[in-house]
Amino acid sequence: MSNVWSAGEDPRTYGNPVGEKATYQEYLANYRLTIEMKCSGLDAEQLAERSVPPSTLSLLGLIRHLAQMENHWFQRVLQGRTDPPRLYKREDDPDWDFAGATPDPVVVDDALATWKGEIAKAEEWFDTVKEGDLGREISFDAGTVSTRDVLVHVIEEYARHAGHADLLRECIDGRTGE
Amino acid sequence: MSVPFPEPTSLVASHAEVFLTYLDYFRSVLLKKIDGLSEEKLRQSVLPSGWSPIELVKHLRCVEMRWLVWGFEGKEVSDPWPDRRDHRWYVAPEESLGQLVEDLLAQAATTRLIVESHALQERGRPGERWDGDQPATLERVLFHLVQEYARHIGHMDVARELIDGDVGE
Repeated sequence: MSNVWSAGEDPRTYGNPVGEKATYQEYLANYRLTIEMKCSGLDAEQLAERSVPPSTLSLLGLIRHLAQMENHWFQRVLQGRTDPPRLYKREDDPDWDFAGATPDPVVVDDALATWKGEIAKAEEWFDTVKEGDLGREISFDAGTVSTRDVLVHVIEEYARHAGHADLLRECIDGRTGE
Repeated sequence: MSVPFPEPTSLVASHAEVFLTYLDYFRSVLLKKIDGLSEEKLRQSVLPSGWSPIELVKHLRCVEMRWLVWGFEGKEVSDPWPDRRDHRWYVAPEESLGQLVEDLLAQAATTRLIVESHALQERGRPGERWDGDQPATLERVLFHLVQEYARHIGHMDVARELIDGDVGE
């Protein structure tokens, strides 16, 4: 494959994390970096490009969606912070995360800052979680969720979206790999 | 075979079952995403990188075999890379989708059997796969497999939409 990142540029770590929490942390960190790498070097026009039509997916839409997803699971579900409004949701448009991804540098800056802000908040909270508490059940909606199941879900959701990002990027400028 | 999405709020018997349910779910999505594609579409790429849907079906079965049988169980496998030729994914013209799906489901049954007979914290047996490194625990292997499946299903999501506009989880 062409246009792959050279090894020296890859900011991800491939350690051998010991324990469950460290494993989740490494996968999360690497997927967040993978998405960032998929977006790097592109301008607002390219980030907002619907590059795999008829899909309305764009890299910018994905960033907004992932910010919403981080906020949903780490703030609303795991910490019960349900008062602030959902990110990038509008009553008249449930897909506002993707639909509102317009090629405007202001929209791009907002999406990246919001996503990174959500990541920082999630990391700050996860640092305080003890290994032994990963199985703890938390009330949510009518049922319960365990911290562990939420983390596995967040990681597989990142992975599937990274698959979307792979092809979005390939169709923007041919870059593959990572 | 349609498996519902393993919502974090649905009750599961164990952590191992969470991994197995995700794998069942992703395989069922894969089969749904290739359902109804003509022979031509199955074997044709819609992307510059050149991979085709039928190659992905074979690749994922081989990935599962490499991680759990060749890797975790440390078994000898005469050809661990049948999905690869000249550094690319490969499916011979005479290999049928029906056979490859059957093989995938048989591999799935093997995976379940292996997972159900070991603890998640158990380390794999040394073998060729590990190339002298310390084998990973079953939990780590399953974790890797789940995220690898997820990313490839993400590829198939987009490929199917490019082929005929079909979307959905």
